[in-house]
Amino acid sequence: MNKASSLQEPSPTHHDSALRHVTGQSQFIDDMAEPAGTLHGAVYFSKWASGRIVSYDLEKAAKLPGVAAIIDFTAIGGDNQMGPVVHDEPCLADGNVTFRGQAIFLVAARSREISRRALASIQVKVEERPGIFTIDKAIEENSFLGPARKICTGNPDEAFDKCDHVIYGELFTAGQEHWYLETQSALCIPGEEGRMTVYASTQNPTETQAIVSEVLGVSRHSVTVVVKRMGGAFGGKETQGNHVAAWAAILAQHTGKPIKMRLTRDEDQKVTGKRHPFRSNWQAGFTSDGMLIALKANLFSDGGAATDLSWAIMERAMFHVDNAYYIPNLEVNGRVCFTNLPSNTAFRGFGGPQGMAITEQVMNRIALLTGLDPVEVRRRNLYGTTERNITHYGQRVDRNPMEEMAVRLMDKGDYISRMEGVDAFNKSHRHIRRGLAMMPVKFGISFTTTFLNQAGALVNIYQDGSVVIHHGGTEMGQGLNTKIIAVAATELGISAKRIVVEPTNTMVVPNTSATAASSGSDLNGMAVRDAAAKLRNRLSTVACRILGEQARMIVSPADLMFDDDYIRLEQRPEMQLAFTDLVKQAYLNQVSLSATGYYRTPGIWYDKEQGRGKPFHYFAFGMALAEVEVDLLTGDVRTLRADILHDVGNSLHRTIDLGQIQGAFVQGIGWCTTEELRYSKDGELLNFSPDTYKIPTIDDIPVEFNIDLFPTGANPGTIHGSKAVGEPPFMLALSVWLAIQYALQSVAPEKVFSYSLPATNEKIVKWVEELRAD
Amino acid sequence: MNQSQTIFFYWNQQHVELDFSRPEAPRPSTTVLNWLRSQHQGKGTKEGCAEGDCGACTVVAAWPDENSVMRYHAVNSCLIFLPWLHGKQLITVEGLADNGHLHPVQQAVVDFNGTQCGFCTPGIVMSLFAIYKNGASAGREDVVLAMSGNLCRCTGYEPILEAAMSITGLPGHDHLSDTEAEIAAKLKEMPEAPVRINHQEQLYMKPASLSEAISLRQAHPQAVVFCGGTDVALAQTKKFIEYHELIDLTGLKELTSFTEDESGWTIGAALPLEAIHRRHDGRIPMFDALFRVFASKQIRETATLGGNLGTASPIGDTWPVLMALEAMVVVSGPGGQRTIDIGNIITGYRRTAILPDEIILEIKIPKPKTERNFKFLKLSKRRQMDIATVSVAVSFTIDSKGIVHDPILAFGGMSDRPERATLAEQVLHGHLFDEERIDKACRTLNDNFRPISDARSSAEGRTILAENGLKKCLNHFINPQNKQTNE
Ligand SMILES: Cc1cc2nc3c(=O)[nH]c(=O)nc-3n(C[C@H](O)[C@H](O)[C@H](O)COP(=O)(O)OP(=O)(O)OC[C@H]3O[C@@H](n4cnc5c(N)ncnc54)[C@H](O)[C@@H]3O)c2cc1C
Ligand code: FES
Ligand code: FES
Repeated sequence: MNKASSLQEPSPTHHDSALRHVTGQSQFIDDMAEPAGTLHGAVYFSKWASGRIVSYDLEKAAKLPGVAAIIDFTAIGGDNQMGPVVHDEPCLADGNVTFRGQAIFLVAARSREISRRALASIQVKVEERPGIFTIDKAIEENSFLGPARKICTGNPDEAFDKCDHVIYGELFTAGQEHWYLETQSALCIPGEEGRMTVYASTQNPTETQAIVSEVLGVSRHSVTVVVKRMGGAFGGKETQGNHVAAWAAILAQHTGKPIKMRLTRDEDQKVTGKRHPFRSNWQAGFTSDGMLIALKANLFSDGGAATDLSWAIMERAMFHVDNAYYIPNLEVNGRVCFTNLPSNTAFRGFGGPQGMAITEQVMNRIALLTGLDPVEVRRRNLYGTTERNITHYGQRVDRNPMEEMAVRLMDKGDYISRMEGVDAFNKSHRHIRRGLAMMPVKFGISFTTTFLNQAGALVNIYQDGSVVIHHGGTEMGQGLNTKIIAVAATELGISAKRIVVEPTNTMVVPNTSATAASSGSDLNGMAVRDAAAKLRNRLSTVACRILGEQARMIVSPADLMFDDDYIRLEQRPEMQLAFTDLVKQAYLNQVSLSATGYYRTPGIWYDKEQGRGKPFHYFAFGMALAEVEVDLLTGDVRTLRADILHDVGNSLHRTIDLGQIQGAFVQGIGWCTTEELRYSKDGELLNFSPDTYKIPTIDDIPVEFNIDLFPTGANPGTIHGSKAVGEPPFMLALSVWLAIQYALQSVAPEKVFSYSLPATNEKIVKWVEELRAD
Repeated sequence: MNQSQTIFFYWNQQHVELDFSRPEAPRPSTTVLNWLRSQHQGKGTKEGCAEGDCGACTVVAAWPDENSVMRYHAVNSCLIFLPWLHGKQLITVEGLADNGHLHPVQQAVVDFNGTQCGFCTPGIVMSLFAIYKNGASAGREDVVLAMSGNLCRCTGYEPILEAAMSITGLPGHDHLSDTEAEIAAKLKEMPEAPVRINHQEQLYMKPASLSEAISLRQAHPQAVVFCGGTDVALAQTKKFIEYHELIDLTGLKELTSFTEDESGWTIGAALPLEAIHRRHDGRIPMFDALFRVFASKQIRETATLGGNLGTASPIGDTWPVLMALEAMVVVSGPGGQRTIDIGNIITGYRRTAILPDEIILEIKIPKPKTERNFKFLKLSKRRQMDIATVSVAVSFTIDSKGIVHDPILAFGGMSDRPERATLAEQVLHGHLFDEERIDKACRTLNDNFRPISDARSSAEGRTILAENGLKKCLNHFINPQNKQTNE
């Protein structure tokens, strides 16, 4: 074992917070010292899915000792709105409720316990209206959010006529609770002149600032949002971290006291949105040799009771219906349903998993009907490198390594002989079956809302040579700050230990985008590089003079080498200057040691009406091979082995990237297997605590778990040639779902059967019965 | 009687006296987690759920065992009331690093990149610390069982597993070892725990003997008794229920015994499941299988058989097992002791034949007189750390002619209470044990049970799972040479 790390000397090879995490020193919002007089905020959430608030009685609650305030929407100083894209989300219900979990009243009390007891003594009468709780019902009632969207290439209807086979199918993929370990929290501290400082657990500080300022009725310059770190987010704090911040801010403004608000686990699970459930139907035409010629897919998502990010999520699902396959005739239609459920929101993959699951289902069906090996079918249909390489929305798939990846993975994973082994196993076992499946992932990187692809940074160098970085991204465990430090260290040629990243602060770097769409290091890394490059240029001028004098020659910036905390002449490395000395000299020579950086992704655009454009800066690729064992009697699934190849370009930080792949894959296994959201017939969520909502434990990971970064070389036009990695590997876990299907299908090899997602124990035993029935 | 209202314990290396007679003292039933988080130096321990399901609040409690050896127990601080700490050393994440240098388990988490957002990490580190201190060389499977009560949403666990594997089998030496003997001695010398704490509208009673417990029970019929408190604490942390009178039986000597003789085993109602696990050493049929899937290591370190029976939940895991073992439950009240057959205790949904002024003393498990087959199976959505969708325990005898005798088929999750499938038992009893019979018995379950739909499963799913579960249990005993193809 290595020698124990000293707490004073963080190592650049690990997560920049690792030492503080393992010693319990890392602060989350609830760990911050509370200012004197801090009150605890709580929210009375609607118990009714739809209806009119007829009357209510707050008196009993208000009289409880320790209750400082209890308010409804009339106490809001600004706009009663917190919809991030569309203003269709009241901050507090204003007479009507449209989902269970909608905020109606806010309570401030001396303690968390008292605040919750106050909630229990609030009396509300609601005249209920029938609600809509499923996609089917929403379609039936024509209940939608926003317009229908369509992307089409070729002519599927004509193409179907020419196909050897035309088949139909349906697919339901269920929602998923984020289950970040830290529940939604905020601490709001009111200050002079109506100012408000908000310590928030949000992926989008700028939007939190906007919404808080709007509900308070103050300018944005009066609201500061600070984010040190989040205890996990996964998309669940992209917009919905705003809510708690807004509620706490309203209470803080109203009482003039600091307010801490932290949802209980049950509250969090009940009231926040989840991954969007999708129901889709499709028609596919293919040739006898397994080529998918035409696909028509109609996607319906459950948006919940407000728009939130549902349109963008639907759009991404539509962009990813092709997954990694060239489909010359492809029509995809998307519609977001309004239901009386909490507004569904971003979750790792952002519609991508839901879109890809459809085509993977189609691929399986083609294999079944043609008798071809499922991997062979997939390989035949992969995008080409020089032709067959234009997506349905018109973007070219560049630098596509997928065929190479497939060959490599099949070889590494010993696909052919293991497949024979699986088939033999299934023949000799009655109740235990195995399945093997391999699938590719191609995932587009960029916000599909083009203007969001921008970022800012501020880099300051102090006279002792220590460096502080501010950027617009947020740290949620994904290692963004670690990567940012690596970028700055490379740019300035200094060691990582000289650099710290400050908490994200809207007063320092304004007008930022959410840390989402896997874009955190792409965008912020570039902005930091821009700032660091400016500083390096300024320092270079000073260094040229000093080293020129030393070496008695004329030195230009191109002669300099910034490395290892020294600046050296490239040709005469013995001529050197310590970074710290250079900084001091620069200061004495009145050179600014502070620079802002800015970046916008070039060359991307998308025309929603036409369904055409280049919405992505590039694609990230991956491939997974998974083997499972399924107990047909108990529905128990064990992932015996998973092999993953993933493309991250030139990795900015290998261990951080591997961690993202492992974590995303296991989270994906959860979505595909044990994570189930059940609702009563009138739309009440039944699994609102970890007691019944089951994310993977350590026993649910692949027994053998092999991950390799696939070398695709430097990715052009990105930070240090890297690629984003946050979301793409999530979808690789669909391989587990496909492997389960392979195992189950062994019960009735010829039978065409509709699977859905997740494949829970209960569903598996039911499917087995259905597969066996004739 | 001990009049003091002070509890004494160590928090890391620091001796703590918590005097509940002081006005600023917290309410006695404050959880260890909430107390820690109210302390300046205690915010390393996190709350992820306040219900025992995530492990973010994991701390380690150490105290000397019968042989004066310090044992380290990972527990969920969110489900433990403060007085439990009396006479123990509470070790939290802040206490592991030594003089600015990481503890080996912390170092392993760093080296293997076992932390991302960091919120689960203190709990993970403490579970690893317990593994490390308990020394035994643990394989992958033991590590998985010891860590399944720690949820992490970021890392995908692989690096945590690698970190864990790297510290198992080591001697467990660290800077805490230096003070271990001294602290163990000090803990032994500590005064008795206070018997009555009356503070902030709560009367918290911790009887020092069984007789005291029984008389307190009689004097306070409204009081809530608890053995491990995992259920009782939950009502406070999740439903914000205020307890006004509590009787704490944790660690009560007469209730934590474990004995074995020719006739069978006698297990104290308040003996934690992990302690039973360590003591029975694989001998009680089905217990190993039971403990593997019962909650998590942390929960099992405090939860008890008495509490599982007291809760009388239709999905309590010990019920079907104890029914299949034909256990007897000894209860004690003002009228003295009585012994009740396990099968006669449950009278309805979470209702039992135990009287309000009685407490459960011990559970007697007879050794079977003839050679019997036993099998327990829990069917749940997630393998580890889940409540059963359906559970089944079977026991039966097969005579030399292959005929089944006196089968017991006990189910959890199929009715408003744990219940035997009497009709299916009749199908098996007196008949040749073969696949045809097994299938017939399984099909009969339909006539026995009308399960419900809930958050875990639909009624239909439960029906299939029960049939399949029974089939799997019984198939297990069909000729072993067939087993290969049977499974
Ligand atoms: C996260 C989590 C996971 C769990 N997983 C499982 C699981 O997998 N399987 C399972 O079966 N259960 C599970 N449980 C439930 C619970 O842990 C068990 O029922 C446990 O056995 C209860 O024991 P206890 O000693 O902690 O109970 P306590 O909380 O002490 O008591 C439970 C009930 O029994 C009564 N009682 C306790 N002792 C006595 C006595 N001596 N005489 C009379 N009445 C008494 C109490 O008044 C109370 O009503 C879980 C609980 C949690 C929080
Ligand atoms: S806080 Fe989740 S187990 Fe205690
Ligand atoms: S590191 Fe985030 S939950 Fe484990």
